[in-house]
Amino acid sequence: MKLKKAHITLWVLVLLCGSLKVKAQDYPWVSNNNIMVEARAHYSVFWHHHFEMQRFNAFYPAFEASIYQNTFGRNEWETLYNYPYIGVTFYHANYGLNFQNDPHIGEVLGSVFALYPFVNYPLIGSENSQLTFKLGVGLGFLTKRFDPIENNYNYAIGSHFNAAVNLSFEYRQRLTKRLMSVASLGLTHFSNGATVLPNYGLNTFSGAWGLAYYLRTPRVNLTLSKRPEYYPFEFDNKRWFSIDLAYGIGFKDVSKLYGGSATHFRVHEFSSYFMVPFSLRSSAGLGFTLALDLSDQRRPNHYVDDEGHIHVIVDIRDNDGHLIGKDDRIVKPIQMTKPNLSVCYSLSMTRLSYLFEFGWHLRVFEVTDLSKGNIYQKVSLRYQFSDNLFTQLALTTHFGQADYLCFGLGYRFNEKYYLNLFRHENSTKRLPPGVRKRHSGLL
Amino acid sequence: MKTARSVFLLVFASVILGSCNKWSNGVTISETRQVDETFRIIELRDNVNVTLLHADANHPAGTIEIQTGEKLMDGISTETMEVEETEALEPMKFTKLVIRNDNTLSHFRPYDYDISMTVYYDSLYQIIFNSNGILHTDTLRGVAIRETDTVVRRICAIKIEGGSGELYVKLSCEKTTTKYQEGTATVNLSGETTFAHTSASYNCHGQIHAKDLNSHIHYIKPFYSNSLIDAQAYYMLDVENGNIGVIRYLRYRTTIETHPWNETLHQFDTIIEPVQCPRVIRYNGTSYNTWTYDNSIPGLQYFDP
Repeated sequence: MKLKKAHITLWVLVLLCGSLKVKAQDYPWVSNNNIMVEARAHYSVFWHHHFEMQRFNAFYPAFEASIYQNTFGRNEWETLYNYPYIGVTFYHANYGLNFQNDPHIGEVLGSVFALYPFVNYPLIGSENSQLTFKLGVGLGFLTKRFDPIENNYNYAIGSHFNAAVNLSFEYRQRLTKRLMSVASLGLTHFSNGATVLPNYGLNTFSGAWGLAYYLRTPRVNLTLSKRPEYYPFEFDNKRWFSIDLAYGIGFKDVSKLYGGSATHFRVHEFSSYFMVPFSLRSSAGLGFTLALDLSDQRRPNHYVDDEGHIHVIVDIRDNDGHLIGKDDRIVKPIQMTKPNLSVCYSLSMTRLSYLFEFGWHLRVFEVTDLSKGNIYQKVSLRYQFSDNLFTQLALTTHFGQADYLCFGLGYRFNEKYYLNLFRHENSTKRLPPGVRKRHSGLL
Repeated sequence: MKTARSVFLLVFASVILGSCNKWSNGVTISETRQVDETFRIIELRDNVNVTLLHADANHPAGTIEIQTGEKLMDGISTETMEVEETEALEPMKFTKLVIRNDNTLSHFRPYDYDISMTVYYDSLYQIIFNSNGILHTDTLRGVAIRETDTVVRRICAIKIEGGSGELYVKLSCEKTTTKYQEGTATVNLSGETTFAHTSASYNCHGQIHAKDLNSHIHYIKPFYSNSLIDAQAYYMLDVENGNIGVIRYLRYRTTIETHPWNETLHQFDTIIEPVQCPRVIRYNGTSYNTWTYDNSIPGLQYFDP
């Protein structure tokens, strides 16, 4: 029954491609942008990353349909990334299908509908046969969510709307001039970034196969040789570094987990980054962040008195580490603030960039809550409005367990410097503009 | 490119074909094992379904009957160890039976396999549950523990450390403690007990159904769970609800049943009056305390606070 459904869906999409072929003649947008459509069937395995979710281990069928552009070098970054595929995917899976013998379990997880934009980066190979990596982030709707009374087994997902993330390696083989076979191995993840707890998230690993079709004859790729070469960051021994300052705000709903009258708590985050580019695509550096998660006041051992003061119950231990008592202390928000230090890596595509951080929470105050661990990871998606202004969406996690999601605005200070003035002077017989003779060494 | 393509296609084929033709667990076989019959604590882990039965002439204490696929049988661990109970007045040493499923690579096996086990015991003091399996018991009578200089009670303790399984526990002892630390397991308690003490932490997302546990006094505190507990008590229900969890409770029954237990019950006989309702203490830690009534259970009366 399931396979039959998969076949029907696949063939409907293939036929749809055929009909689009005719229609595409009338739309210059299709031919100008190398538009493709694709249908894919997944065979997914539910991966329990928490012991309590082991009961949901099963195989699930899933389906996806995509429409996307195979870039051909219209912009320089497309050539730099070896002509990636950019588009949007619709994804559907029913997590209750394999529990028909036990409808109660089948009703716990429900099904999911997701729509996510993606970029698919060719890694190696040619236009006819290539290995690619697909990265998609979008919005997913899960029909079932955690409810402490009605659906307490599903403590993987706390809200209907979730982030949908797809990471997959694909092998694309051109069958005809316009038809491609696509096989993939990947991970699909759903979680809400801890905006509503509980939020352990759902993970499925899948093998998938599908067909992709160019709606018009594919365009010839423009190569770098047909473009002037740019070395903006090292021209004339000139280098750049940047200092980014950003503020982000997020919201957390912990009421289903910890109770309390307040449903949403704010998370404030002040970030600063020192980044140095080392290629046209990549830069690396250090980051320092101050994060204040006000939902910490609802964590165990915390409470708020009638006057609004936040209290924390702290263990008192002797020199040998034995518990000898507990102390009730009033905590100020500054004492709940976590200073963080991180190493960063940024991957940019013109105005869009990913920022990956691996960092440590620094304990300055004894009452700062570090129960989630000292080490954190952070992924940010940035969009640069101008050379200086940017906006970002940042997710902070502790080894895969989301902590908070922040939306932020920032300002970038771009600074240039000269790596070696003597070499520059010898090669050009003159100093760089703006640099006086008395300077030597690094600036 | 050829190497990368070959590796990718090999992995892809392995995943798809491996999913379709999973390793077999073999035919279902039975095995009988004998462990130290003095165990008083049993700890359940992983996904083993266990039935606890009193030992009899045919099944001496310590006998374990296991039914599962022949390829899984060797991975089922039933080992005993010495542990110390510290909650008693004087530290006591018990033998603990730990049941685990040590089989690995579960994603390469059929998911619908079953590991069933029947354990015969003499008497049982504590059940530690950290499992996704199902536990059934016959009537547990607990073990006599000296709590103070003058009070010795037959106590049965249930501790849920994790998992999402189900427990069906029948009790007949003086004191029952249920400590729910973590997980989503459903606990079903029935039988009789004089004192019941149930506590749940923030990480408890499971439900406790104790409406069939006839208790004289039931302390439900602290109850930091966000989930549900059904409870009843003849004389006193002492509740401390520190979270949004729902506590459903039953009314005091006008008929006082006689229980063949020791002096600790008589102490309460002197102060108990035939009141119309139990004493209910509401801890107003948050404004989210929710009290609901389940009128769907026939034959029982409910108290409206």
